[in-house]
Amino acid sequence: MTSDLVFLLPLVTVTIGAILLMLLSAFEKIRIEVSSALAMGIFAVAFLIQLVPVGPDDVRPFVSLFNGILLVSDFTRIASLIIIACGFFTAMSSISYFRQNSFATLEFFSLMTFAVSGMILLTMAQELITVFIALETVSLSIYVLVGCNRRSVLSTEAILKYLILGAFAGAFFTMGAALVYAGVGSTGFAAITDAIAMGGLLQNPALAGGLLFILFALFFKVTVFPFHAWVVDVYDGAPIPVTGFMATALKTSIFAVLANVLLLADDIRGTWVDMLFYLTVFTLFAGNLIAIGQNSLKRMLAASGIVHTGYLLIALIAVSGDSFSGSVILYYLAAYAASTLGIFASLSYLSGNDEKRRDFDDFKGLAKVRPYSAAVIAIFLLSMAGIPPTAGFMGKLYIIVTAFQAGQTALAVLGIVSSILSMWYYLRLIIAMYFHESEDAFEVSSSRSAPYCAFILAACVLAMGLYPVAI
Amino acid sequence: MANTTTYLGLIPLLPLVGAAVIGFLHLGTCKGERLPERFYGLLACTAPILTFLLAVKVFFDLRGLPVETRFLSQEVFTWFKVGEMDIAMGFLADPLSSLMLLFVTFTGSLIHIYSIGYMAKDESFAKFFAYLNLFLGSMLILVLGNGPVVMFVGWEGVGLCSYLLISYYSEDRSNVLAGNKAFIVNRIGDFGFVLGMAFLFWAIGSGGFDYISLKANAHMLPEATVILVCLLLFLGATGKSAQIPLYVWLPDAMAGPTPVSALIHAATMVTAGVYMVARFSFLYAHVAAVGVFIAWVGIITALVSAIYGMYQDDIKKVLAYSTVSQLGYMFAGVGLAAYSAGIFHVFTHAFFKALLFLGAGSVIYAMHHEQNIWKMGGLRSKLPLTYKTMLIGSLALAGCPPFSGFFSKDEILYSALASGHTGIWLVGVLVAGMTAYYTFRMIFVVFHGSPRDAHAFDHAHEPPAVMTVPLVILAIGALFAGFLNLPALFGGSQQVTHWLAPSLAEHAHEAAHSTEIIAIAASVAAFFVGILIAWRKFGQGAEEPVFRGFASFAYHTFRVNEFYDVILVRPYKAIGGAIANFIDANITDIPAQVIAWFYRQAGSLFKLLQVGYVRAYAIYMIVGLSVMSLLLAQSFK
Repeated sequence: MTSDLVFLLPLVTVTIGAILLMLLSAFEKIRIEVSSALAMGIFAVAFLIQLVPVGPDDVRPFVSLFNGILLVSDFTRIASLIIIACGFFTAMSSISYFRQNSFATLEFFSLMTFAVSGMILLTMAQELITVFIALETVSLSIYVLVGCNRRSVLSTEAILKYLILGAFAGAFFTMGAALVYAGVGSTGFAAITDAIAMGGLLQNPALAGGLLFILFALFFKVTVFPFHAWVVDVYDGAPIPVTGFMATALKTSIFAVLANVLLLADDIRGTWVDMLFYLTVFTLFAGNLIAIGQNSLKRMLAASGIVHTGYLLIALIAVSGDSFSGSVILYYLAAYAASTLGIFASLSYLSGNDEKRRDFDDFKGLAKVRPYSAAVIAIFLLSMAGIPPTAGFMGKLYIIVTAFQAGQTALAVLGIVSSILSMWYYLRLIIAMYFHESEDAFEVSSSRSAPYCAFILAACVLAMGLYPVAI
Repeated sequence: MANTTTYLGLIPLLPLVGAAVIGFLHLGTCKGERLPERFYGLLACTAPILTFLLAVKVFFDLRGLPVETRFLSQEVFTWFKVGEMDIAMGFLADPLSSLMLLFVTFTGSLIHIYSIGYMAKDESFAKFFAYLNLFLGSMLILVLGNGPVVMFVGWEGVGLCSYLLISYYSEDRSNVLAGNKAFIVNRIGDFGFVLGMAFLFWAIGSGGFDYISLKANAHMLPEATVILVCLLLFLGATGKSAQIPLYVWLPDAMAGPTPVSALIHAATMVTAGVYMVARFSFLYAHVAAVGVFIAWVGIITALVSAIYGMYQDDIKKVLAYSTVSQLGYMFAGVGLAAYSAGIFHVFTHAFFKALLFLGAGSVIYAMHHEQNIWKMGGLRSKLPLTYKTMLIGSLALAGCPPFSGFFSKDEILYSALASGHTGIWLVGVLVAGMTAYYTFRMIFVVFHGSPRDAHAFDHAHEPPAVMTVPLVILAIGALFAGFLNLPALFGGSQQVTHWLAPSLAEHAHEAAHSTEIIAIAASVAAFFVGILIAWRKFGQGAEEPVFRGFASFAYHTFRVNEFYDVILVRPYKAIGGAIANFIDANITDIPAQVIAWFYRQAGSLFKLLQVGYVRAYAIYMIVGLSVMSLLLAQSFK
């Protein structure tokens, strides 16, 4: 029983930490540095506890108490590790950001911690209502975070769009859960697997329809074409640390759920594999084509996030149900998270007061003035573009190799083509930074926590690329 | 196993770590306040001295082993594994590499110490030492690598460092061009090396691609393959060791700081080609014809560069051509299967040539970076210690008995005579005379006579002890190193040859003592004739000559650079330019441009879809969901 507690402890720690941070926000005198340090401490503790290995078999902690609605495996453990690390680095780099943007409130850290607790729960949930509750915990926190700069019109616009469309998708999720219940008589994943094993997915239209709605809601969250359109505007309007957090932690947790749902039974994947194929192709190319048209860095990164979703979908299609280890998906998520967080940390440091540097052109000649910053940004961009010896390269390599092995040759080839196309916008920033004269003095945030954060992440990107340990 | 060690990998690692530490410290502090030079100097000398101590340990450990299994090895990790090619990052110390190891680390340490004085007050003092440490690490990988692939890592590493250090004073464009030239010419040689390696692997690589396996499997090779591999590897050697036709980079390489010329372009890196041929002696020994070809290339290089050396006016250029010339001797030695003689000359040459370059460095330092010998003169009184040590070095280079160069050079010439290659021997004796002539021309012009530039002369002074002590130590080496391999004629027992024997596929040329006496007498006579002519022309002070006719042609190094420029460089550039300006721009690029255009158009189309209205986004979602539902509905049929 105590060993069960160990597996829940990260979730418990983060939740208690979130409540603590919320209570602290009531005090006027506490500075945001304190809050940030506390949040980082909570994440660090949770991370260390989460490192405890699960062992060969999956664990359902407190099975009699929770009736098996939670499941801990190596897959959920590593997904949680990535999520907690994302929280840690966001808390670290946000200090630099808030030195230049004066709308900081202590609730920021509390809400972020709540979001992380929801995400950890998401990775473990094995029941639709639990998934829904966790999803809403995450979404509500993130809605507020997106709009936390109340004086910014862009930010307000972003929260409104995200809220309306998010509610729209959320409604479909509950609808789907209801349909599944109608078809199976339970909302537990185990029951769904059993029902499919009995007669096949297509014998049960309510279940099939319900799962379709659920997939739709999850696709919305991870910006699969054609449910991707919101992402560019929302990422653009959200404050930089929030954008980085959304792009990494949120995507990791939702992909964990997607993998859990899609891989419940071979039949589920089998039924939708054709649909997934087209969605993946469109996601890859829509992302690329939107990204090249952007002049703003945040919008470009948002659009390129769509492309990375496409790669993760390739992995989801290609991993077979029996030998699913998730390591390919997790490695890619970790590589992507490190690069993306790194670039957003650098932007937190460099973007100036009120995010005045937004466009490619604003970063012209950065390498001449701030060579180290330019170098780490270049490392992150190369990683996202998938150039060795970075983590991004190994991630793409694993995915494409897996696709070939699974016989999805077309997807593998399209993945490579899309990777070439993505050079267009990643290299564009490198060209701006390195091959132009600087017109700007690039005054930066007085706090150096974000650049330290970026350096650590750059080291991670290179280390993961050079020693790609099979997770 | 008695032959495996755990410390061999440390030897290249230490200088590499040193390079990284110094490099990062320099990067971290180059903008703000810098760390003191003394600190960097100490840091930089630590790794070479430690590696020297380890090299001594390697030597004694090897001595403790029986002759048949006299080697130490360590496989640090599996580097890569592709198909049959399983390459370990492994190191091998046998008598051959341990000898190389000893003098590389020894001269390397001394030159590091000397550089502290020579490079003092340089803009990027730390960067210089980072490069120098990096060079030493690469050179040690080259020497210790347990197979051609690991050797190639070091081979490329030293090439890179050579390039970085030649272009070290990068404010001057001509230095950068000299660095480029060295790098590009070396790449041509590397091309041969890589091809040779590839053929070797193709033929017998599946049985293991380290020296021990290759040696065991070498008998399976057909002769044609051996010839091809040997010639291709030799092309690599001509690049790195500056032989015809690829010697042109070495004189230009003198643009680097003088300690670099001493360490890289005289004592260590340029001998890598000789080392490589000796390493592969198990292949070269099978094909005597290729060996004779190598010997002829070597001796002609020796002759041609000795001619150049007789007419140069830059002190470092004189030494550079003498290096090329001595390298030619070494190739003559290894070509005639007298591998130990060749390697022994590598060994003694390291001492006296490093000494001469460092001495030249002292002179240049004293004369405030003046390198033209016709601006010097009479420096004997101002730089007594430098003069004495350089005199020892020159006597060794010119082959005066009993200095080290005499024994090693004589052994090569004796091998040529004993193996019946009288032509090579005759040219060799001629070159020996010319060597004596140009070396003492330099000594007489620089140190004797009266000063030609009174102002510079007045300000000249002996450099600090940190520079002169290495000179003295090297002078002792140049004086006595030859006795290590004293031939039987002088009552010695050829200890170096016996030491090297297990590593080399040598067949000794037995000949009567009378042959040996003839060889020695001829060399000594050539030495005296050379020095006599030099004394007659320059001993009492001489004016700067005006070159005409042949002399002018030789001064301009037979216009080989211009010749290469016309027949190789310019056509190559012209073809490149044509491809870049016409084929690339007008033919190859069109599809790429068209695709880019389509891509951009599609991009703007998709940008249109991002209208910014929530209602539009919701409609996309509904359309998507409808299509998904439709697909699902179809699958129910």
